[in-house]
Amino acid sequence: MRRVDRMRANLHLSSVANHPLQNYLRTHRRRTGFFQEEVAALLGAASGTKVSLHENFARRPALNAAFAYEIIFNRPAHELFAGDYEDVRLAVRSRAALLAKRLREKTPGSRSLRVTRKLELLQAITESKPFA
Amino acid sequence: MKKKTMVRILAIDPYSRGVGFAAIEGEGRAVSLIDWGLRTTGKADNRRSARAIETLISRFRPDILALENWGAPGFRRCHRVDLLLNGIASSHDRRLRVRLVSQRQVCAIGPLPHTSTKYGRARFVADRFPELEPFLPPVRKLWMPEDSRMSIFDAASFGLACFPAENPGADRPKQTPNSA
Repeated sequence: MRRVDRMRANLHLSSVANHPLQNYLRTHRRRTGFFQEEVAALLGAASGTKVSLHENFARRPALNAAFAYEIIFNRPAHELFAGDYEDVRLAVRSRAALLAKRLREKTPGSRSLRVTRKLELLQAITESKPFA
Repeated sequence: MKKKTMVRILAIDPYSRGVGFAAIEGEGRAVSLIDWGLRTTGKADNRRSARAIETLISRFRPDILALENWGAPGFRRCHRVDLLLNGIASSHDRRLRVRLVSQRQVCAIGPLPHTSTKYGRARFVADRFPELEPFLPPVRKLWMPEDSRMSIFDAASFGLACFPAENPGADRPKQTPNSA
């Protein structure tokens, strides 16, 4: 039993669940069978280091690289970068709710067609759901 | 209607020189393999294996950690693996659920009797996840040691056994040769 206790001390397991991974580049690369160097060559990078950094969530790819990944793996960016997309979606959603609140406070009485349209759009953003 | 939520499972299967792992994500029947592989530790060392598992957990942040049930019938591993699994299962935090999978549940991931043998299960897993096909080791002969890549397939079958939709025969009576 003492050995088990020692192992418990060595393990500090932590987890934050039910949120997509930041990106699924490694999954898609391994499915296609490409090596990191090969993907790097397609990205126009000198070595696989850049791909490794992206796959290990150490660095976020630039917009050009994100488009390149989309082309290489033939998958939409919101699927490849599911975690990042979810973070952005939630942030925009909360900002939209804030903006809608401000607009409603600014125009408490009758609203112009323009403001009504804006509020409708903001409502749609606030109620947006993640991609399946 | 009950809302389905995405579940991420990290399945671990220790072998003589490290650990095999498979990370599976799914929602109901839509199950996909995110990552798989071996983390070698060089020698049979529980401390290094535990460190490798810790790294995997921090990378994948799973909802469920799937391990082989060391107390169930059919568990035929060495004392070191017993200690390692026990240590992992008892050191998790409250947010990470540990699911212990017995050999019986693993056999029920696919149609029997095809999944009653280790190779049969590996073949089933490779059919289910074609990306694993290149890693499928050849059929083991009596005089051959077990291929370390088999750990990946064992881990994937532990992961699959945790999905109820993927495991329709979970309540089937024991029909494996080991169950006798």
